[in-house]
Amino acid sequence: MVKLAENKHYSENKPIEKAPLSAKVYLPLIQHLGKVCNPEVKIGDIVTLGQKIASIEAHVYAPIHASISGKVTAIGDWPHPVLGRAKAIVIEGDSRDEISVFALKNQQEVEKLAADDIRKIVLDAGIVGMGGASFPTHIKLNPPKAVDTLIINGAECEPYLTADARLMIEKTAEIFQGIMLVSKCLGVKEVYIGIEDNKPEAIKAFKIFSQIKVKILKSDYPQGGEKQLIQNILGKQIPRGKLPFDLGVVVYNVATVYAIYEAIYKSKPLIERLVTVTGSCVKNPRNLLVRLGTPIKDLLEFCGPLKEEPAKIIIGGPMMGIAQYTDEVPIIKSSGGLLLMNKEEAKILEENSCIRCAACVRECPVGLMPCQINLASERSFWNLTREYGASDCIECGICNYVCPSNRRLLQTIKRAKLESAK
Amino acid sequence: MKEIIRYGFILGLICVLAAGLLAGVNALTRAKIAEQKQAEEPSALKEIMPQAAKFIPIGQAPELLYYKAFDSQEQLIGFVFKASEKGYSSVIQTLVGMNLQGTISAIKVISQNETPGLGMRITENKFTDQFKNQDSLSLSDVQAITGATISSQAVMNSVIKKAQEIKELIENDPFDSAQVMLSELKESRSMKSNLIVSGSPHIHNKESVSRIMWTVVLSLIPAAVAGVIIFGWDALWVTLVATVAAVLTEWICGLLTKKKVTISDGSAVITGILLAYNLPPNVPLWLPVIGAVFSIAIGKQIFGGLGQNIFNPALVGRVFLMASWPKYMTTFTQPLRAGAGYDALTSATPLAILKEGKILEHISYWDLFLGKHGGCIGEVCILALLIGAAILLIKGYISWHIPASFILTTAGFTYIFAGVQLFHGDWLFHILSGGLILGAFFMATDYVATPLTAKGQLIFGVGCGLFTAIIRIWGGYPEGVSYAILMMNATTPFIDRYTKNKIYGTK
Amino acid sequence: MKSLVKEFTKGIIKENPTFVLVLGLCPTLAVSVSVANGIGMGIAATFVLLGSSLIISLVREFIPDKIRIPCYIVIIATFVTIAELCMKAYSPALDRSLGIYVPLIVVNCMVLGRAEAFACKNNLARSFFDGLGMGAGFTLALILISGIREFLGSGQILGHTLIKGFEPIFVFGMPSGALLVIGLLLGFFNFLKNRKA
Repeated sequence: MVKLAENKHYSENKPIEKAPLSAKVYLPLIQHLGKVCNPEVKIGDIVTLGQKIASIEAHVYAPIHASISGKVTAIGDWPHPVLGRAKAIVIEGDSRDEISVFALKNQQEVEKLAADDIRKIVLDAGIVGMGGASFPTHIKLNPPKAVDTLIINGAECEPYLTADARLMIEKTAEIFQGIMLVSKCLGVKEVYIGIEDNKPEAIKAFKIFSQIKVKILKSDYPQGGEKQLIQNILGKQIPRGKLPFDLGVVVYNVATVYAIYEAIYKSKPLIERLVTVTGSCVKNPRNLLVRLGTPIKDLLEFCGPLKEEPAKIIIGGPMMGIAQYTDEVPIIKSSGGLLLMNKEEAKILEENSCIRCAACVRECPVGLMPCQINLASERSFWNLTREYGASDCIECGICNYVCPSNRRLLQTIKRAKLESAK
Repeated sequence: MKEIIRYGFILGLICVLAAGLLAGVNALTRAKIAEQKQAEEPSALKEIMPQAAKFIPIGQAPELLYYKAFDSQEQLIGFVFKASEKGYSSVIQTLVGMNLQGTISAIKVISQNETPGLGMRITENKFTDQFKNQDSLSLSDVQAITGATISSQAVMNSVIKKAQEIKELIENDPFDSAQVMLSELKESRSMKSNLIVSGSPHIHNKESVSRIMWTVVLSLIPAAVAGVIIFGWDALWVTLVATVAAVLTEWICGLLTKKKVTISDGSAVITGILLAYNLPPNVPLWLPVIGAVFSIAIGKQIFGGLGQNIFNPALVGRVFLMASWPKYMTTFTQPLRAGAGYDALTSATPLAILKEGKILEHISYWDLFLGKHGGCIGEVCILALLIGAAILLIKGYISWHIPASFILTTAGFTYIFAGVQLFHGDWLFHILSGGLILGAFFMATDYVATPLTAKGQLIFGVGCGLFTAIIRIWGGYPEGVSYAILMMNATTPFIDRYTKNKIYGTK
Repeated sequence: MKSLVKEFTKGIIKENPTFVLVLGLCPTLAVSVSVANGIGMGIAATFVLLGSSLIISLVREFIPDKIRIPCYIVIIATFVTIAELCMKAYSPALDRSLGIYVPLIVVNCMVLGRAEAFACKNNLARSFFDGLGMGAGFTLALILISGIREFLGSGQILGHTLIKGFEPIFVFGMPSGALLVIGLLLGFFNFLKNRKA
């Protein structure tokens, strides 16, 4: 685990603001791990805010909902932050959006809900893991083994990003209610929340709840990784090849829990999410509540004018985020950050030969030997990469970060993962 | 009877050989024949969809699913796919072009072996032209050829069935280019076309190879200063000459092998300096030059340059010089004589005196620590070396594992075995004399030739310590650090293989 | 006739036993300290190679396949013993300096290797020229290597000092120096070969 330059000062004290609505939203048919959804509307249909517009008959999926009300003007390829390009539904907005269309439930109604009811609501709301993994939440609420521990991930270990931190400070009560819902649904005995020590306000906010044990974590990267979180909070390691529920643990991101709260108490499907717009090029970095499908160029205009033209636009954080080729790309369920880098920061460093300094070996949070996997992968020795544990890589990027020769270790390990799984 | 068996055997053998040969030739040519067939397709595709400028195949070879057809403005205009069905006497393969609306642009029968004059007439324009502009799922206006119903029906059925399949494939494909969207994308004025797109992570720490190497050079400077104070200016000339020769050699090797010249990263400078530190101060100046050339050319470049050498290059050079000119390498000047040149009184190192069986006179530990005795340029002043080592340890460029295990093992072994009786060895003397401190902190810690993991490094250090002590006590040379390190360098890949890190989640 | 000449010349360059086939390196390393030794060993080995190749080629039809290795070894050992006896009789100094490496010619890979690869499959004439060529190539390689080693390691060639006041580089008289020289020469010849290709 490495201490990175945090750069959270740009936006950590900016309260959450609503981003202005865009004229058009572009909603890709796949914003989750699993099967691509099929559109359930046609070109020309009028849709209301929160209406389900795409779904599929499958096990692993999450439906897509209209994030603004308006008319469907097109269904076709559009840039996608993760896949590069995917089919999307375009909605041109009208002004009906301001009317709240979501029915509230009171506490007694919520108490009456059984675990399966909660899961159905979460599925229908299209909620996926908001920490970036985008795994359909309703499946995670139904683990194949009994679980007794719930861990809420409030680490937000990526530099620059502060959305989760602000959420924990401003929506503490709501998150708490979400946590109670989840723990009831899973039937857990213990609830922990892991918060890094660079978020003292959030730690104070959650300490008031007796049902939740607050664990203060060192703000190293990747503290927010599932494996690291479970090790540092419970002192146990997930056995290789297994998942957290094999240890009786489930981990949820705070934003996911908040979305669950909104889905149950406000009958609100997943139509918006928090995005930290930040970077040295941004004049007004802030934490924005953004409707899904909003093109990032609209967000940049709102946070601008920019101090300088960005050379690189990243959706996500600087360690695991994805560089974009256009500013027309929309915000989707997994887009937690929008980071702009200037020319100096975006400079691509030249790769040299490995000097066996073993910095990557020392710093790998999973105990792999990235330099060895890299050399084996470059020669296509897939069996050797398997032996060195390539499949256990969590793709955190620390190896590339520390390598003095600027070798593309992570990329070759990703390739080895693919090839050795064949 | 015997004849029959014999003839049968011979015949059978010939058949088997012939079959084997044909099988072999077939296996060899099958790919090429398929390749040839593939090459024929592009011209057929153009016939089917003349407005198309480019065809992109979709699907993994050999299972080609269909082609997407694009016009000269990169707009998708349709699809081309192969339909096949058994006709009257053969499998009929038809190439079909389909527009975006689902109507047929044209068809062409590309493979069939039907009855000439009857079924074969499906290849005629009179039949295939009917398909133009028909809805691919109904083909309502297409009529079969009289007298060739089966062949005609085969073509029609295959077209309808395949069109249905392809339509479903297209619809379920999230990467399908219904280019309504893309034209909007192209017109958008604010699309930034010069964004840098590279893989994550997008930040990097400040370390680089040159930063590490030049810091090591910095940490070696105290020892140079001490060398000059103790031995005079000769020490400086030898060091400079070795360094310059090393850098020049690396430069020339880079030019000769047409690879990138890496002299600016400072690794050749380190090799030159370390080589000089292992030489007596009064050597003729051509000696460090040859040593440096050998170190870089044979000790490093021949293996592939930085990162590929098996052995520590400076030590390779030093050992070569030792074996080549032992006289020069074992003649040492008295220390603290300014301007001492070749006229120096030869003064052996403390270890050499011990090796000859003589008693060491009036040399205190303090003298050893400060370096007030004969020896190689960089090895005598322990104080200066420790200052440099401290810099590297604080920066995190070397870890304590190798130096600690190396020095402690040597101390322990010499304590037990190097004395007049067991457990009476002067371990402090052994630690402070010879090239142990220089070797343990600066040469045994060379990244390239040492193990990657902490456990491996400890094993490496212990091995070095053992060999050093054994050579010093029982070996032919007075000093064993160089040979010990080189021998352990050879075992590094072996150590690496058996000291892999424990992966998260392993029991 | 041309093809026979080819059998001879291939042993010198194209299939030189030391630098291309990399056979018989042990005696090469040990013996190439001086040119005199190199020539002596070369001649001895060539004699053994020639003799055994001829005989093996002569009787190749009669040796059953299953016992061919023992048969070849006996034949080769016979010639080695003849060579050793002659050497002991007519140049005992050479015999002393070559020492154990004379009887070790029996297991010189070059000799057994050519027997296996060539002599047992080819007629008398071809085997003769092959043996001659291989032996010549071996001897020339030895002369080259020992020339370098003797000059650098002691400043002399064949016992005559070439440059006055030359400081000998002792490493070349040692086995480590031998490995260095052979390694670098092999690399150099490979470089030439690859350049041609």
